[in-house]
Amino acid sequence: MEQLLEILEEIAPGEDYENCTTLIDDHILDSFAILSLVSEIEDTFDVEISPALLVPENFNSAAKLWEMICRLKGE
Amino acid sequence: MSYHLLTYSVLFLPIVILLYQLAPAKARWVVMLAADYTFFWLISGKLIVWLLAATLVTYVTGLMLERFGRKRYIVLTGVMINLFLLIALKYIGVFGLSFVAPIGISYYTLQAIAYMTDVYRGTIKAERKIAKIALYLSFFPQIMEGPISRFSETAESLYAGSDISFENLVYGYQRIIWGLFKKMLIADRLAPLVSKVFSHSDNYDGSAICLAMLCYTMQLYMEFSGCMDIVMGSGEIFGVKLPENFRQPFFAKNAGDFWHRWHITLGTWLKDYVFYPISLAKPVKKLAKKVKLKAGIGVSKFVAPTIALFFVWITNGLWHGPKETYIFYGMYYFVLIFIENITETPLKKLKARINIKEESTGYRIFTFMKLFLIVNVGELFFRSDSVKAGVSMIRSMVTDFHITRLTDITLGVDIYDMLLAAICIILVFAVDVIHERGVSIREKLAGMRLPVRWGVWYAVILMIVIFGAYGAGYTMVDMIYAAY
Amino acid sequence: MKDKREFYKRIISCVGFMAGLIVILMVLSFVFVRSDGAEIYDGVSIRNKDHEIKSEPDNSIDVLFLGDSECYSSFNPIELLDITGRTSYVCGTSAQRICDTYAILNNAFATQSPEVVVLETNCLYRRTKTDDSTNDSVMNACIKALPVFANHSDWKNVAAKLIPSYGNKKDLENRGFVTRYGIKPYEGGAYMHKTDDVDDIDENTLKYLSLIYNLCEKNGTRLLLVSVPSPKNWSYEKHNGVNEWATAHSVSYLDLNLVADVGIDWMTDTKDGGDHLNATGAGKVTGYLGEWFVKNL
Repeated sequence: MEQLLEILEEIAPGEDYENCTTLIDDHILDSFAILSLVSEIEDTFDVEISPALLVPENFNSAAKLWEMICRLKGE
Repeated sequence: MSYHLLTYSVLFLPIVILLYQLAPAKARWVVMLAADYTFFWLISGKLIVWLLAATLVTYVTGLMLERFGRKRYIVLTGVMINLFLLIALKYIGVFGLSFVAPIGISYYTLQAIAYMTDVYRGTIKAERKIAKIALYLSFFPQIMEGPISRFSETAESLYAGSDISFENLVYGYQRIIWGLFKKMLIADRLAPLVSKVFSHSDNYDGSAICLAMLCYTMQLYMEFSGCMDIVMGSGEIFGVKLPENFRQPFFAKNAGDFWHRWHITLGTWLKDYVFYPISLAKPVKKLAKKVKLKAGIGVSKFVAPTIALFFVWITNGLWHGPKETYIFYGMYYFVLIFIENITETPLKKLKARINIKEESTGYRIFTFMKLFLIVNVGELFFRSDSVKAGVSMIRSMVTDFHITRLTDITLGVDIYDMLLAAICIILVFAVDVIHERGVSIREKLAGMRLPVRWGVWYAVILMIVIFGAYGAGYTMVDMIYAAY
Repeated sequence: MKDKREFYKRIISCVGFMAGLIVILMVLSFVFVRSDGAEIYDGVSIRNKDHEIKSEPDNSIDVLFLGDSECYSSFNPIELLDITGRTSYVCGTSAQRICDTYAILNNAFATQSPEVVVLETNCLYRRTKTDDSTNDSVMNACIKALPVFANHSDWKNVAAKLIPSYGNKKDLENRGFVTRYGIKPYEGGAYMHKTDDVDDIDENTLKYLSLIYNLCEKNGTRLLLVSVPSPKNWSYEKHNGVNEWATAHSVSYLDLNLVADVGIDWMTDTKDGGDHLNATGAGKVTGYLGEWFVKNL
């Protein structure tokens, strides 16, 4: 989770990633940022994120992202 | 038959509403489907066979994906068949053969592809009832100009057969009236001027061309967003919430933001079904990694998005049709958005250093003017007969601009029409500003006393009747986006 | 019980709104009715020409030119005065419909008694029906039923009182003639191929043509039909159509598309590839017509 927050901070600095739940809805992360995020997450956590997972339900907050990563690792 | 005709809102729609409401809830989807196919028959006649074919292919593909597992070859077959139909019918004219494409094929094909891909991805489950697929692909308010919706957005409410609520009926019709206002008072009024100058651009000097360019952007916006109002209002009546296609586009901060506010559903479709799949594709990721090793993450983070973006914009251009101007239009925005992306961080630093505040009025005016210029130039090429003609028009505006000559020439629209158009444009933008602030005008009005409510709506309707650009002295204008 | 009351309340309010709307539309129809019931297409142009003619001294114009852009591109009153000593005024307007020709002429006769009215024939082949101009059957029904729909563009008459807009200074100096400079040659070769086919003039146009004919007769004015050279617009079939009417009514008809003596050179005399003549071409047409006047009037 720490690593995830670091990645987010690096890609789009200045946001409160611990608490924000509207990363997609408020356009804090745009499509480019999402791609960078996906790339870093895949490298760091050794998972594969398919386009089907690129939905607000998974990306709107750091917590949801972490849930998704855990699910992927669990499979 | 077309949305902006009175025959639609005064005859077709009321009949459908009546039959729908009178039918028992379980049978209402039948009425809806019958209305959908009747509408399609009215606009495309026998070509409905292509819609039926696409519906069947889509339905079968979904089921097969569920039965045989989410295999790539199944979804690709389904998508390819639909794409083949679209390309063959719509684009084959380029090669000298002639087929006629049904109106709406560009829209329902994208919806079909969205459904099949979503089932493949596991985002939604395959639908067992073919009726739901049929309704989703043929919903009559969407068929001619979109918006492009997803199965999960509309399928249920289309099938549910809920009662038509009074509130929905009234709000829906109010939105339809507003859409008619935009089209008939502004868009149709400007059309003759635009048409005259764009088809004989070498007869006009730079100032006339500039005026025509501005008028075209206005005509396109008023007509397309006005049409969307009619369409959304129609959906609303039946309790079907269609996704918005416009969100005050001229308030955008840059070209990228503009495309989050203009023809939104096309943008999101391209994002979900072209941008992400391509940027996350293995070959693209591999390339990005290679670049990262050689040139660092600062450069490599642009590789995947840029490649994907290129395909998004080529598709956007071609989707409008097989014309060089559409491809140019796509590439124009590709280059602009690419530049905006790579300069974003450096510019932020620069602005901080020389202390420019993004919220300051001066800066906001600057961004508005820049965006306005970008959009207008883009639409000029979109409308021109050829890229060559577009370039020469731009050159004319820069080198041959004589504003005094404007009074000398007949531009197909007299001064009274121009003044009226200007007043109405200001009115529409005032409403847009209110919407941007999040206020719903319809709700506000509904809360007011009857004389005020009725007064406002009577005023709007009467303005359409008296000031509408129809009948003697005006020419009928077909809908621009129905041709795509 | 409460639901039912709500339901009826809503029905009544809907019906009330619609009824109120229809009443308002009917009342407005009284405002938008045209006094003489005549069809008008372009009220602004008619008003402008009326203003121009009324600015001339009474009974000072010898020749009136009517028609569309072919008319105002091809007849030069200044040159005509030099050649024939006759004063004239060009009342041609952009895309003039025959119903408007009649309206303009009618207005002109109030203060003028010209010797000749020259009608350029291109306007005879322009569609004139106004109420079937939409492919929207409900709209058409409304236009037929209530004058407020049919004549709604009369709002411009009110606007014109507040913001007068009268033609173009340059054109006024040239008495309605529009000087077109520039050259874009017509290179399509021969365009008048002799044939017995007839392009019929439509019924509505014939109706107005008769009205114009009668108006001229009543005022002791001679009506003259002229077709100016225009490869893009004219054809032998149209010639036959006009000739038929002219012969039947003993009206003189000059088809300059068939008169080599006019001396049009398509490499230098047209501004837009054979659609309209330019100033040089207009000079030749005016010259020929002037000579014709001297010989035949």
